[in-house]
Amino acid sequence: MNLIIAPCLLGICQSTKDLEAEDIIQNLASQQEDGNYDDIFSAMLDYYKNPINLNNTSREELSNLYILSELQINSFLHHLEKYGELINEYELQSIENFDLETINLILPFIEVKKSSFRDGNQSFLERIKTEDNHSLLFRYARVLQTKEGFKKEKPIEKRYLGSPDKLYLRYKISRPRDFSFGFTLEKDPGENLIYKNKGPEFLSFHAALFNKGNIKSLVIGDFRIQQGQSLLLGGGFQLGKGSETITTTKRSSLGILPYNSVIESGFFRGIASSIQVSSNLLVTTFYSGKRIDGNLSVVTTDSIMEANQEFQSIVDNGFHRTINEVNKKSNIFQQDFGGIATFKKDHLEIGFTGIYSQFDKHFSKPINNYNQFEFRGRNNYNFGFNFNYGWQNFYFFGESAISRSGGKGLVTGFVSSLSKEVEFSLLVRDYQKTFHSFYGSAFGENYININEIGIYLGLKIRPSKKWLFTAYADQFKFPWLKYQVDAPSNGNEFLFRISHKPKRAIKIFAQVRYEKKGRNLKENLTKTDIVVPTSKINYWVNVDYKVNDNISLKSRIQFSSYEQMVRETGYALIQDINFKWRKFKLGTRFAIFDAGYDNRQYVYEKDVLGSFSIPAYFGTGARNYYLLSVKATRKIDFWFKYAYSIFQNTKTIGNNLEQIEGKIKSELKFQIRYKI
Amino acid sequence: MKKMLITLIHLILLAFNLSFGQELISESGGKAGGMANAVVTIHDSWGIFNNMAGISAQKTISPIVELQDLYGINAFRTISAGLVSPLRAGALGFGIQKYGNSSLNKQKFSFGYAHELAGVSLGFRGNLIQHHIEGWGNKIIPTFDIGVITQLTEKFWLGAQLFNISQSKISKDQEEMFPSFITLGISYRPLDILILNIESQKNIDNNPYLKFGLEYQVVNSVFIRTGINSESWRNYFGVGLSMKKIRVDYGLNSHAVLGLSHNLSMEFLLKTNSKPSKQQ
Repeated sequence: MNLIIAPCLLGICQSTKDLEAEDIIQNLASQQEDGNYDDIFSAMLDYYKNPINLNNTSREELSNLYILSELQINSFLHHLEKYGELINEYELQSIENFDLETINLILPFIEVKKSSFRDGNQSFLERIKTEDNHSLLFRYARVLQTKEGFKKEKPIEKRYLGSPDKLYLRYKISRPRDFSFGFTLEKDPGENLIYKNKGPEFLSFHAALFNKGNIKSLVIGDFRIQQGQSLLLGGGFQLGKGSETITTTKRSSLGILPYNSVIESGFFRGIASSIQVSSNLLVTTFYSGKRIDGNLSVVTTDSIMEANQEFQSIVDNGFHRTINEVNKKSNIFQQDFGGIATFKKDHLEIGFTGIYSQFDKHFSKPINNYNQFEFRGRNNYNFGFNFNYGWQNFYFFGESAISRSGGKGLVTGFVSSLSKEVEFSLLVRDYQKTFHSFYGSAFGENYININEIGIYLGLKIRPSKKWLFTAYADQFKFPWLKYQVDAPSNGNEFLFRISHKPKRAIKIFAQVRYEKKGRNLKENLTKTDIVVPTSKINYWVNVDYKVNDNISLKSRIQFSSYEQMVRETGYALIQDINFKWRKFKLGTRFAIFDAGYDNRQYVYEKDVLGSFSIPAYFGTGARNYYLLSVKATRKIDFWFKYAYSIFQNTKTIGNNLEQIEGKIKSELKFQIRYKI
Repeated sequence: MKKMLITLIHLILLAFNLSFGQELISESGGKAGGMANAVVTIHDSWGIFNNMAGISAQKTISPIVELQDLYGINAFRTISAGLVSPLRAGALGFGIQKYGNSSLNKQKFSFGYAHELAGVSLGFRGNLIQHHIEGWGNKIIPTFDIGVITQLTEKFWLGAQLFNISQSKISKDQEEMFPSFITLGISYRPLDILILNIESQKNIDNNPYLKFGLEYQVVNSVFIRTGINSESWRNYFGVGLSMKKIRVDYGLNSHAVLGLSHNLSMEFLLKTNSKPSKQQ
């Protein structure tokens, strides 16, 4: 980055864009609890590396940044319509309802270029050759203590087959709205690098072209699809309920997305294309065939034909560390194909989706009371309808779908800017107990969209630049039993957060989150399980203080209480000190915690670029980490992380094969990125 | 049999923290019914049943009527009617409410006056509440309420209501009090068309709880509302139509276990007075 001539815009110099972007992503992330955020992180990072060209963007793209309100998006599109293309970033200040705060937030993720400028006269090959966003990334991680599963003296069926190293390699070259090629190789701790002499343990590959004539996108290899409200196809990164209470409510139809994450499930492997049939109609078709892991039923007689084979469960954690786990690998062949037709006219978008999925064996999940309505069989199909409609400051959205079983799912709502200061969202969902969607991840309390009815209200108030109030209230009902909830149950949840920014360098927030749900009574001795209300309250207080250009501090207190007949509490106190000096950045953490498992404290941790962690702190102990990142040359960056936890009152850490003797667990992580 | 059933349902309600005394003390009007009863800072004719100070800015002579339906059970219905009129100084109101059926019912007669002084609206109300339970008899008790509303800053309003400050007893023998409570609320109105209310209510016998309500004027004559309270986690939704001579408000709320309740009210605007008003 050219430090001297980089223009300083609105107080943010180009040179600090890097830092700001990482901060913003981390900020967004650090507000979240549990869940898998690798995806979100990498998607935000993608936006940072491939900024949105404001002169060539869409409502979907803008809303997917999770930063702009409906009012601001409307104002922006209106501005573009009225005055034509933006000349530069400065023009953002003249757009109605845009304030400095917002502009600073989106700056790292946007750019302003004349729409004809991008593709220029360069040929496709030249564009590939000259693309900056071209890198090779290697990561290594290892727990320094020997886990039970790595002890060589144990019999082979009771230990891990591979080494305790975690290895990751990624190659990627991409240019937004033009092309993307990449592959990812990965091995988890305990896995062998090569699986049964058949190839690498995990390999993901994609080649994608965008905007070539009528072909909007064409992807070969691994991909995901994000359509409507994610009821059938939920491929994008999505935040669920959290302190961002408005923009996370709705989802956008992003279409086909190349996949290069390392989560070994939930994606498609095959081919997909989107074709612009007419100016209003976009047609997407896809086919995917991939081997997935599963638990085959024990076959007692040889007479059973291959076609009649059954499996009891799908294993989606991607671990193949023991003989038992390796035996489950890739023994089911799943095929999916489908199509989407999307009509767009003015402020209205309507989509129709159809998917057919098939296993090569019969899925016969053992029947329990709670799961008796879940999917069983060899094939499933879904049909769905989705819409978005923008009207004044309201943005309405919805999706409904039906599965082969006849089960239906519905999710609908709106987000709105009621005034400059107030944003409001409402979402209603009803997923029947017989609704089966393999790739859906629509808004909900349950992990999958089944057996749930709920109403969500979100509110965000910014009465002044220094204050921000966010809140949500969600009520839900589970009409059928759930895992470890042996009766129809209901519950509710709310969150309230006050954020205060007295100065530019100081950010403070306090948050309370309350959740009450029905759960089986623990340690119950009667024959029938009893469902009792179980509540959890989390309190967070967080202060971020940027002392100067070199030092920033973060202090956090997390306290929670868990109550099921008796009340238990847990807490974590966290102090981060981050240094920055020339090409070096050092992030450190000192944390103390005392919490039972029910009160485990999810705390965001800084990690090597592209990796992401919100570990749960529980037990009694302390945790430290040191994360060093160095921009060694123009082409090479590297990261080094050392973290350790010390536990009190214990002789071992973890369970079963993951067990470590002693009180200390330490991890080492190294990453290097080479820009080609 | 029917009586037994009703008694049983009353007992169930009791278990859900909705005691007998709760009836006829909760807020009235379709507007309140659409925004979780968070209306302690609102100026309108429904002040005669809600925060008495609310009628201080009355511009019209307004007859009002309302039907509240609780969980779709006839015996739990409340019917209200009232009349509010501006005076040369302040405003006067009269209201009557009836709850229940022939086996158990309550009636409430209210009479109140409100006036604005130095930016503070003050309201006073006297009530006579008649309890009737078949085979038990009648009992009439008087209660007294006070309400205050004031504008704090350009965008913030404050409201307070003291209900039954006289702490009247229902029965001398059993020392049972008629419920007394305090409601305190703040209203945030960033625009003329948007109202956000947050209120805390503390009943002498129960834990305090929060009410949140929102009203938004979608177009000139149409209002939408929503709200939630932390007592029973009920979601409230409402819609209002405001025409030249008539206002219609409808509110709906859903209790996770007991189901839906409805609230429909009408206000007639008879004679306009030229007196300036706080209400837009």
